[in-house]
Amino acid sequence: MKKEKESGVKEYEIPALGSLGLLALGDVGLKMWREKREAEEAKEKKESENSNSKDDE
Amino acid sequence: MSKRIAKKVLVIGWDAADWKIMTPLIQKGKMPALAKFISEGVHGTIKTLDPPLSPMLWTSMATGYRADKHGITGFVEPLADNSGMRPVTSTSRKTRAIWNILHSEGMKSNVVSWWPTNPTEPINGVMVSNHYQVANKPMKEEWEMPDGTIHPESMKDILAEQRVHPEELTGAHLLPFMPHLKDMDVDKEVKVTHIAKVIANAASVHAASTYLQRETEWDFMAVYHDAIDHFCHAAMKFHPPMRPGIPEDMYKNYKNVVEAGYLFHDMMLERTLSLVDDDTTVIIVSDHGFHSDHLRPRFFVKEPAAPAQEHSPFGMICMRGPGIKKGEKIYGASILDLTPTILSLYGLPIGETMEGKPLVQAFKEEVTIDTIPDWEKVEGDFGTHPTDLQDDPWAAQEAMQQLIELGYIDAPGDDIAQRIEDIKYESRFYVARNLLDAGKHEKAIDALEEIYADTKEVRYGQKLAYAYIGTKKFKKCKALIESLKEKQSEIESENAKLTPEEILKKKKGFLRDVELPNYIDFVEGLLLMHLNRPVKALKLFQKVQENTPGSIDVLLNIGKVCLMRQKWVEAQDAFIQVLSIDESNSFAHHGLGVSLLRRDMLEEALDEFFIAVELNFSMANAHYHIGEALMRLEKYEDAGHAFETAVTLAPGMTKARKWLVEIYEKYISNPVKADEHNKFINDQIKGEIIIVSGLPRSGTSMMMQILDKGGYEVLTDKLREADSNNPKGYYEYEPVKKLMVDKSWLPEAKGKTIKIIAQLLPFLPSNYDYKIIFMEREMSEVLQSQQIMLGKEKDVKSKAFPLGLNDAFQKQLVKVEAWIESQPNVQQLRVQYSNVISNPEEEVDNIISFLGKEGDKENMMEVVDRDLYRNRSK
Repeated sequence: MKKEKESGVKEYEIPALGSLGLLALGDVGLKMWREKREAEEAKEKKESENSNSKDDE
Repeated sequence: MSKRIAKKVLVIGWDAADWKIMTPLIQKGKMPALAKFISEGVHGTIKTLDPPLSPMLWTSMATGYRADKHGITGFVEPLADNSGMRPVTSTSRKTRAIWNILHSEGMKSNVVSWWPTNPTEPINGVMVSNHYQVANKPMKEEWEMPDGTIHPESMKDILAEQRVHPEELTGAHLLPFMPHLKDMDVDKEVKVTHIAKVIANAASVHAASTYLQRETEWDFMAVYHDAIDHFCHAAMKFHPPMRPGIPEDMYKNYKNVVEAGYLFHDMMLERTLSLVDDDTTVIIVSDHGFHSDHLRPRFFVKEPAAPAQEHSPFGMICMRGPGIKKGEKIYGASILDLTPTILSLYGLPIGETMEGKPLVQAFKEEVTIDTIPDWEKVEGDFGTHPTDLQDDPWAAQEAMQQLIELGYIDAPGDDIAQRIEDIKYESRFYVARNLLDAGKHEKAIDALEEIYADTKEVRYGQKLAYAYIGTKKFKKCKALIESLKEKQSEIESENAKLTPEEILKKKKGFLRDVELPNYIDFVEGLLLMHLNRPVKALKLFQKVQENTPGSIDVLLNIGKVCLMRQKWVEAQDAFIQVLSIDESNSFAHHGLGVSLLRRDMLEEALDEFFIAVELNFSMANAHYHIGEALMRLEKYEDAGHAFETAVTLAPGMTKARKWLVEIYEKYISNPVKADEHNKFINDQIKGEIIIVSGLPRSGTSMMMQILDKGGYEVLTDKLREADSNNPKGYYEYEPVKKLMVDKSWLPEAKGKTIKIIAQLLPFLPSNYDYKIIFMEREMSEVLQSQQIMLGKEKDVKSKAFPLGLNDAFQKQLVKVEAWIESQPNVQQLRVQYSNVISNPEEEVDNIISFLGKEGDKENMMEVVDRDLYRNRSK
């Protein structure tokens, strides 16, 4: 889930399904997960709309 | 003002956290955050209170008081209008919590999810109540917070966002707890939903607390997590190793839950600690432990709050921060110590009425602890509820009941009324147990007598019997045991008409009913033990042991009885059996140590005593025995420390003070301390006297002779010579007759045995310890014997005893017995004259163990002359 940047600062890859690690990060982890989840949901929705509109064409 | 050690304090509450689970996880590197924390501070076990019910315990931790003072007496309380029940509320708390005291000192506190904090109090800071995290509706509906969840209102919206709904969770969250989730029928497995709720609740509390840590200024913060307790209740039965009777599929599905729960808490801890600065003192604490090994109960006794039977008496505490020692263990902590410790960290005075102590052993420097009489009496703004919000639900319920009885309002339906009634008794029972736990037996008896009389509930009778034994009300205890025996007969007749299934469906206390015969025998055994009749007590304990093998309580008492009888090897066997079941049983380690000490295995005994006090520091007797063993090893300074600890824990322990006088006078010159202990001894107790008592002609002279022949020094002037009534002598001492007016001769009796008739016993002064061997004989035999002695053989033949003599003697005996039972410095052994004649060996055994000093058993038994039992009724 996390990888080291060159600066040594940990960078987190946020899985859309969340993780215990994110919950353990408290409010910050929760916010990051929800944003990622919403972004994924929006992306899926958009893709689905696009595919629907292509089908309509 | 005492020195302030901490700038800020953060308390993290982990309900039910237990070293028994955490230590192996730490050793395997699975709880790195906690491992690091421990290495940077102090850690140890913490003793819970009885009953181990979370709302009562966490309120004791936050106030420094037990339930009888703080007023939170269980999980639920009646609604003010008597229409039902509600979870306990903060308005029922009668004492100030630590955050109220800090408010009055101008400090800011954040309190998250502490039991019970709904409705939140208007403190300086933020309060998030224990109702905050509970999802009460499906996710698609609006998830509103109940009234009173957040203080101040301005924080409501932002904190509402921090809540995690169980339906938000995905397999990614649940798989670490249940790795076989994909193979499980989630719709049918209620446990899966429950575990998801617990994870979501923990995440909500953690998100709220980390938000407050980051975004607010605070001096004190307290965060309570109930998740470990809930994971354990849900799945401890499936925790490895697998036990017989556990279905394999359930074991496979849920065996990871408990461990995953702890690991999740370690992950949350890492984040929490990353948000505190070096100036913050952090305390992690639990309210009780949780049985995780072979002590896991296989079934619950059916009673309210039954899951608490899984709780174990020792939880965990660790502390880190400025001024706190590093890498050391602390001993003897009680959950009542939390508030006094926090106050002392801030340099604030402890309330003298508080029932705990500051854990100063954790502090690097010695600090002076200031006190004030009572924080409750201090006037000012404490951030508490306005007075019109504070209420006593029980008082309100009583008021409601009166209105119902007067016909002003209708009574609630039968079921609700019965439930409220049950809860009312249960709540009083919890307070009584809490009082017993505190050693306040008299107060507990008042409550228990009432609720037992009203309900005849066996559980209440059981505790009442213990309370009677604890206050030496042996006669009442005996009567109670008789009443329980009657109850047992009733239950047996009722059950004879029922099928086993019907018995199991009986509403209340069915398992207790089943266990009743064993229970009665056990309590009777305890009573006999306290009446110094170890032989009969042992027989009863052995009978119970046969019926319920492996019962720790029974085995412990078998061990204790064997110690009383100086059967050291048998005692050792019993205590080893306890340790094979529960290796952390402090009482068994102590008992085993005594059995070794008495056989001169000093080093081995010391090992056991040290384990005992490490497990349970408050065992004054174990410290005493450490001192005794060290004295014999000529380690006088260390022995002195042990005896000092013993008298700190039990100030009235004169035997420890006597050793201390010897140490300070002979080995470590400290005349001031020697004088201090000498003064205490002289003021309190001047010595021990063995007394043989009873009515005249009840066998007192024979008992004196038995003791004389056994090698016990007797005090007699032999002025009254032997005659046909007492051919072996009277063993009297003339000054005894003037005891009512002259006690100046008593020092001569110190350490000796003297005969004093029953009626004179209440005139004994209270500054001696007395061991009374009280002779009992059939009243008709006593009267016959007295008449013969008075030369009235004719009356004996016609059985024409003076009218009323029998009643008068009986009344006198009742008075004397009441006096004996009320004297803390008196121990008594009741000896049946007829039993001495018929079974001298058993009685001589009892006498030797009662006196605690070896006598010549053979010589003692030879005194018994069956021919002397000449006046027995034929």
